[in-house]
Amino acid sequence: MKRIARRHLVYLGHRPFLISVGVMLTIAFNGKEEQVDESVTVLQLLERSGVEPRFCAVELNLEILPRAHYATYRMRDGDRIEVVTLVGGG
Amino acid sequence: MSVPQESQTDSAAIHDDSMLRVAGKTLASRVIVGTGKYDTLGLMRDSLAASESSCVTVAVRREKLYDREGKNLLDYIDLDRYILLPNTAGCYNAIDAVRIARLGREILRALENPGADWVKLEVLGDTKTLLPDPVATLEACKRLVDDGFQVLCYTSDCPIMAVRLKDAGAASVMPAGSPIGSGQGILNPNNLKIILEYLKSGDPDYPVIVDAGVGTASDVAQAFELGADGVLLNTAIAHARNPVLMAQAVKHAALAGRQAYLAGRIPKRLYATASSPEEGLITSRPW
Repeated sequence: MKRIARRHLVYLGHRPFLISVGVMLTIAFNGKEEQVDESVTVLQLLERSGVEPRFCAVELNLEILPRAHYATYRMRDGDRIEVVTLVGGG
Repeated sequence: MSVPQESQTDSAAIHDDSMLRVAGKTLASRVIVGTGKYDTLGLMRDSLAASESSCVTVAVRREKLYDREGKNLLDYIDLDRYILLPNTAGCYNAIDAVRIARLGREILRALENPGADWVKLEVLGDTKTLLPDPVATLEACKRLVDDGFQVLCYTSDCPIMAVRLKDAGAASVMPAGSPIGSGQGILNPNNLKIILEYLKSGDPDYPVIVDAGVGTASDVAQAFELGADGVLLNTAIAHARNPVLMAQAVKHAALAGRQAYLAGRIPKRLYATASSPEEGLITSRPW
């Protein structure tokens, strides 16, 4: 699943330069592969998905991500993130 | 003419007995109810209220991203009134059960709910029967106890497994009456009697909760008459024709069953014993 971020190769004269233009990362978000902007935080992911952070827990690469890190952790390529909540059950 | 007024019973003591002591807490009701399978969340809320339970089970699942209806289960559960007991339903190995238990704890801690360190552990072995995988259940129970959880452990009605789970540190062993959601009631009351005898030997307050298989109120009464400390049920209420009415029936059945257990049933006899005196009969017998 790990994939190198897509970069745009731009040729200037004879020498190839690597220029980052809005680098996209590939993550697995609740089991679904998604492209997200580099530097997006967990909190931003939750907000744009309409998730109420108070009612959820976040697992990042099989480890619980402490609530205090939601606003600071920036997604890395290949991250697997699970956002769970409570539902009816017996 | 006057009737003697002096009562021989201590009704206050019986009233106090409605509490269930488990995992260091005292629950006001001996009935734990599930929150799944209701047609609507409003019906669930009303059924929970009618049961007068103070502890409800919940499941941990992926958030529905982007297409949420905006309704969360927690909008319908009064967190000041109920202890939430997160389950590990749907787990088929110990590793997943531990993951789910930790995620549940993370959510409940943020909600400051007293059930945060509690987990209803279930590790299943098969999708058709939903019977527990005993090897994985024991392994998960040990790991969760080590991790500081109060483990209320779903298991089959096998007495040996029940002993193993108690030895592993389970706060409560919760044998199934019959398969989850089957409504078959208590299929093997003798096994439950043995479990109660073994687990309470030298430890009479150890809580044993019958979990799963309840079909109707009389099954709840039977579990308590056998000596169970609590009953956990979901489908019997949620899928009843009238869930709120069934929740009330379950509440009464729990009280009736528990009181009958404390009162002590008479032994079963093969032959009849007359309730009216033989002495003073004016009738004659044909033999």
